[in-house]
Amino acid sequence: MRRSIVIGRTNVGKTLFCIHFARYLGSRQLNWLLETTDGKNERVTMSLASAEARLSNSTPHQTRTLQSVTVKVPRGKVDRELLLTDTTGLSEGIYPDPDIRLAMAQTLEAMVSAALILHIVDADEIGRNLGPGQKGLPARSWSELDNQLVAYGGSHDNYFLLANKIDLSAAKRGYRQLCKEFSKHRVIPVSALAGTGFREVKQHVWNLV
Amino acid sequence: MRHQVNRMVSSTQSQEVIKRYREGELALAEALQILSGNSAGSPDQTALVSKSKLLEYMTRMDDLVGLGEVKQTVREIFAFVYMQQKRQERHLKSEPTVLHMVFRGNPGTGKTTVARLLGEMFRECGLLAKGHLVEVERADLVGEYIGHTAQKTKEVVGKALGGVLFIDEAYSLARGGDKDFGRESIDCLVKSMEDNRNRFIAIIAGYPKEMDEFLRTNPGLPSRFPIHLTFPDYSVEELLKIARQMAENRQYRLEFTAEAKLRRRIAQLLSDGASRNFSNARWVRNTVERAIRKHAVRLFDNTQYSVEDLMTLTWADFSWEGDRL
Repeated sequence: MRRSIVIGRTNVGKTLFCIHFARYLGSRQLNWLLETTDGKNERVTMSLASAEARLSNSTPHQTRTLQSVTVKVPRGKVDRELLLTDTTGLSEGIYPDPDIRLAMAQTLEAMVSAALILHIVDADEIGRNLGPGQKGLPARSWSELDNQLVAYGGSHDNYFLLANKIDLSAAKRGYRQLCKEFSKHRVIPVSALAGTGFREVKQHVWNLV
Repeated sequence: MRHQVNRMVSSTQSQEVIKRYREGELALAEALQILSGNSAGSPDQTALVSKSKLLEYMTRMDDLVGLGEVKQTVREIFAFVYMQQKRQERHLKSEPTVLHMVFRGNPGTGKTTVARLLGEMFRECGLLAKGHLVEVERADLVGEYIGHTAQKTKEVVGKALGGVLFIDEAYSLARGGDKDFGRESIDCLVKSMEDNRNRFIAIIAGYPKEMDEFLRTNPGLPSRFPIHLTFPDYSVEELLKIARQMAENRQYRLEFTAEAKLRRRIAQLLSDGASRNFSNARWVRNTVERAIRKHAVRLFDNTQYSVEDLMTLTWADFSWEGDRL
């Protein structure tokens, strides 16, 4: 099964994106594969509503394991399966908590082997911190880490930048700025909450399987 | 897999990078940079201090006889410097440290030897670029006419950049009275110590009593030299050990008769009031070297000599005629 991985900084909405995207692709029930940092695998099945309630909230580092959901993508007469992997949020520098660092290392590992990378950024935050007429991206909401992720993506065939939270007011500005900055990359405006832009993401996922 | 074809970093390499990140040796951005193949090789591995090299110098330090307190302090300094570097690697704050030192001790108690060793060790730590020792005294620093002193002192400091500036008998700089140029030299020195704080290490050395006075007369000085090392006089046993070591280094042996004679002489010298001028280990070195010459003369008339003979210094080789303290 090919793995597509969702990465990004903390609290940009990776988990919510995974859940809603899985729903969009037709899953009624989420079949989670949890890969913990000590090498154990666990399977958990939960409904969409309970997944949303349990896995996603606004505290950083809510997700500490690789949690993958198996989604079926209809292709021709048969359904192909794809692993949609939600990861631990990445933070700058050397994270002091070894557990979380372990989880982040796991994220990196998965990223290296993934077939599709979906890099989620918070377009709303970028838009809000953008000064009038500012060139480049605001340092407060765009770090060296994101730059490196984009640079890494440059060497990857299937890398997409998802400008999340497009449903919020300032996100449009943030999205435009992202497009301007990363003209070489495909920037897709999405809203993990409202489901905007999922069609385009699906197209790319489709190409993959 | 298609996407892995154009990947510039091999999978073993990426495993290595991820492992280093997991251990907390790399920042995330750095790890990603290497993973994306944008960095030129693995970064700054060469700048790291090698612990084994450092330990090697520590053993050389330990080979010096006596000097317990000095060794202890040196160990502290190096552990500190090493850990600061480790902290830096993990992106923790690390203070640049001021390591200017005062060495107080009688002649021949190992001040220069330790200074030289320190220079090399600091170079090994990457703290000093070159680690060489520039040894100066009053005459090298103080000029003959007005304005000459600052120029001379600056020149000396310039030579010492990247290494250790060792000022022997530093108290003599302050001894000449108010009109003496020595003061100017001190001022200039203090100034350049501040300006080039991390580029060289100044060590001022001298006899204990004079150094104390020197530091008292210049209120700003003690605080600018945070590390004070006192080199105690050697005991009889330690001096004997030094003599044995010196002979051994030159592939000679002290016969027990020679040792006994030497012990008596040292004990006598130490108990004398003359000990104020006694040059400790330097006297031992001179004595051993003189004994080696005498030994050569003694054997010169023989026609046959065994290896044993060539190596053994006996009591006859040690004489105290014309012995300078």
